[in-house]
Amino acid sequence: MLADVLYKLMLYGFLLVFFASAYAILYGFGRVWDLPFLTKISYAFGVLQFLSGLGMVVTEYLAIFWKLIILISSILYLFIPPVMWKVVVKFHERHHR
Amino acid sequence: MEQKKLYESQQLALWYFWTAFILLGAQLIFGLIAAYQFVNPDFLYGALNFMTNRMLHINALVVWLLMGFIGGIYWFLPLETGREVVGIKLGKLAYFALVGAVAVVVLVYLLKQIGTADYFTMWFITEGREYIEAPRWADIGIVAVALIVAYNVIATTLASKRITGILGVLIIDLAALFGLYLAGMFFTPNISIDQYFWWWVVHLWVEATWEVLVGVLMGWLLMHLLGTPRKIIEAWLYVEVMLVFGTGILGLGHHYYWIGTPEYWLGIGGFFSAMEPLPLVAMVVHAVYDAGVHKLKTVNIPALFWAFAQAFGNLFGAGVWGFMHTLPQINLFSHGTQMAPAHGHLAFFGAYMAANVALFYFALGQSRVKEGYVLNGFPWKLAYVGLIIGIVGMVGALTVAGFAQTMIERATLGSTWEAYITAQEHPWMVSAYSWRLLFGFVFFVAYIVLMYDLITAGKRVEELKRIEEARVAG
Amino acid sequence: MSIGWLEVVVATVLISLVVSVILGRGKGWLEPDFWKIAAIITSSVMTITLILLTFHSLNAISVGSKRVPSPTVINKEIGYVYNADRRAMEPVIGKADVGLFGKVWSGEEASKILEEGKLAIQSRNCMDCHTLLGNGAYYAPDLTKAWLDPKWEKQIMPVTNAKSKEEAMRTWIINPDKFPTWVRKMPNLKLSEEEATAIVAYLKWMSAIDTNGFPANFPEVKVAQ
Repeated sequence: MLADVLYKLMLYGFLLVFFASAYAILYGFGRVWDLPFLTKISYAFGVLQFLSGLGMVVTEYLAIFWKLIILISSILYLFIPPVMWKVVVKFHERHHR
Repeated sequence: MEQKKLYESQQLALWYFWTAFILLGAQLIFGLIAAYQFVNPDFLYGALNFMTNRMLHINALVVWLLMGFIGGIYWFLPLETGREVVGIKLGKLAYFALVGAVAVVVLVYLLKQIGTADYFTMWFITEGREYIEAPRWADIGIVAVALIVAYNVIATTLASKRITGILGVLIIDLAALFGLYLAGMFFTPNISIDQYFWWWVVHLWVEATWEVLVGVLMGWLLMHLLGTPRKIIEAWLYVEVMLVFGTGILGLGHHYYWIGTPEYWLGIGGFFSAMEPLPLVAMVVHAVYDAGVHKLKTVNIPALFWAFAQAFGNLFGAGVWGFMHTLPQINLFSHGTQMAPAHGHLAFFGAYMAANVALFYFALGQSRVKEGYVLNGFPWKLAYVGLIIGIVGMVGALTVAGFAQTMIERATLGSTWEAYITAQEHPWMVSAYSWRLLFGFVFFVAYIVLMYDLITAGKRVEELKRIEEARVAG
Repeated sequence: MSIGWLEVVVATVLISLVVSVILGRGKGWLEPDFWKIAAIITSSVMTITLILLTFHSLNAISVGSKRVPSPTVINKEIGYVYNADRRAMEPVIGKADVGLFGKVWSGEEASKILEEGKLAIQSRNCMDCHTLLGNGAYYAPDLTKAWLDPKWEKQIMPVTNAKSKEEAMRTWIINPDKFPTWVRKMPNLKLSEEEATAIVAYLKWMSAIDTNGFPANFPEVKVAQ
C-alpha cells in the first residue's frame, strides 16, 4: 500500500542522516577525548546508517537510479567521519603555528 | 564596573542585537497565538485571525534574524579592518529608518490586516506573498538600508587598504543576498513565474546566502573566541562556500517540483538536495574537533555553547529533517504538509537563531566583562536547555503530525478538501498540535530566562569570580 | 528543446571539478588558495547554469504555454487524469466552450479578471492559511486543484442554493463564516462580488496548470476532449 511504502521511505530517510550524524559526532568525540570505547560505539551508528540506506533501497518504489544515489551516499557516509578527522587534524597541524 | 572602549560601529551593533531580540519576543507571541488557534480555532476569530498571526510570526522571524546578522557585521567589521566604520552616521540613520519602517508595517498588519484587489494594497498594505508580505514601499526601504550596510562594508574595507579572504566572501555574499531581494518585488498574474522568483528570495536566502553569511560571522566568532588561526578559518570558509553554493544553488530545484516548471527540475532538485547533508555531516566533525581540543575553555562560555548548538542544529534541522522529504517521489505526497514546518522550525533555530544568540553573547562579553573574567553563570544554561527542549518538542510533535498528514490526507484519501479535514481530525494530528503548543510555552519561558540573562550577563561576573575564588581557596 | 536532468547534473559537477583542479594545480590542497579557486568556480558554474535554465523554464511556463494555459482556458472544461506514461496526474482541457458564470470570456476580459483574481488573492493573504501549488501555510486545504474539488458539488452547492459550481464557490467565499465546514472557520474577508468572481476564475485557471502530478491521488475528473 502506498501509505505504507511512503512511511517506510520517510522513516528510513530520516534515520539514514540521523544515524550518519550520530556516527560523525560520536566518532569525533571518541577521537578528540581519546575514548576508544566511544569510537567503537560510533561504528555501530555507522552500520545502522548503512542499514537505513539499504532499507530505502530494498523498498520497492524508487527508480533504480535513485536507489543507486542513496546506496552510494550511505557508503560515503561510512567513510566521512574517519576521513574528515584526518583532514581536520592535518589542517590544524599545518596552520597552528 | 568600567565600560570598555567600543567602536561606534559596535555600539550600533548592540542596538541591532537588542532590537532583534525584542522582535524575537514578538515572533514567539504571535507564534503562540497561532499555535493556540490550531487547538482552539475560535480564539480571536474575526479579530486577529490565524493568517495575521502567522504573517507576523514569519515576518518577525525574517526581520530579527537579518537585524542580528547586520549587528554581527557591524560588530566584527572594525575588528577586521582595524578602524571605525566609514559611514557610521549613515549606518545609524539606516537603523532608525529600519526600526521605524518595521513599526509602521506591523501596525498596518495589525490594524488594517487586509486590503482590496488593487495595486494600492500591494504598495501600502501587504503583497500577500508568504515571508515577503511587506508592502512595496517597505521593500524599497529595506533595499535602501541594505545598500547602506553594503556601502559601509565596502567603503570600510577600501579605507583599510587591506582585503582579507573573509571580507571578500562577505562582500560578494552581501551583494548576492541583497540583490536577490529585488527578485521578490514585482507582480505578475502568472503564479508559476511568481513562485519561480519568490523562491529566489526565500530559498537562495536561507539555503545559500544566509548560510554563507553565518559562516562568515561564525568564522569571526571562532577566531576571536578560540584564537583559531585565520588560515584555517579562511580555508574552511571557502570549502563551505563551495559546498553550500555547489549544492544549494541548483538545490533550488526542490522547490520547482510542483509549481508548473518543467520536469527536469525533479531530477536536478532531487539530486542536489540529496547531496546537501553530506557536507553538513563532514563539517560537524570539525566542530567536534574544535570543541574537544579547546576543552571548552574560553572567556565566554555561552557564546561557545551557542556556536556549537549552531553546528549541530544546522546538521539536524537542515540535514536530517530536510533529507527525509526532499526526494521528489516522497515530496509529491509530503509537500505542503506539517513536514514543512517541522523542518522549518528546527532549521531556523539551529542554523540561524543559535548563531545570533552566540554573536550577541560574544558582543556582551566583550563590552561588559573585564580582562581575566569569564562570562558564565547559571541562567544562560537554563535558557539553553529550555530552548533546546522547547524546539525539539515542537519539532517532534510537528513531525508526527507531518507523517500522519502525509499518510492519511495525501497517500490514502487523495488530497481533497475533505481529505484535509479528515486528516486534521485524526488523533495523531490533534494531539500533536497540543504538544506543539505545550513545548511552545516551554520555549517562550526559556526565552524570558534568556532575556533576563542577556540583560544581566557580565554584570554579575565579579561576584561569580569571588565565589569561584572562595571555592578554590576553601 | 528538451533538457535531460542527468546531463545537467553530470555536466555541472564535472565542469566544476575539472576546472577547479586545473586552475588550482600546484597549490597544496591544504592551502586556502586552492579552495578559494574551487569556491569561485563551483559557485560560478552553478549560477550560470541556474540562469540558463531560468530562460528555458520561464519560456516553458509563460502564459499560453502548454504548462500554463492561456487565460481563455477558463471558458473550457478542465479535467485531471492519471497519465500512465508520465506516471503522474495531469490536467486535460475540454474542447467545447462551456463558459464561466454563464458567459464566454474574451481573451482580454479573461486576462483582466485573472489579474484581478491574483491581486485579490494577494490582498487577502490567502497564502498565510492555505497553500497554493503546495506553498504557503498549513492551516487550511491546498488550493492547487480547488476548482476540481468534489466538495463544491456535493456539499457547498446544496447549502448555498447555487445553480452552478462557480456560483456556489462565489457565494461561499464571500460568506465563509455563514457556511462553516468544520471547527476551523474561514474568516469573512470582505470580498466584493467582483473580487470573488475573479478569485473563482483564478482557481479555475490554476487548476489547469501542469504541476507534474501534484497533488497526487486526487479523484480523477474526466472531460470530453
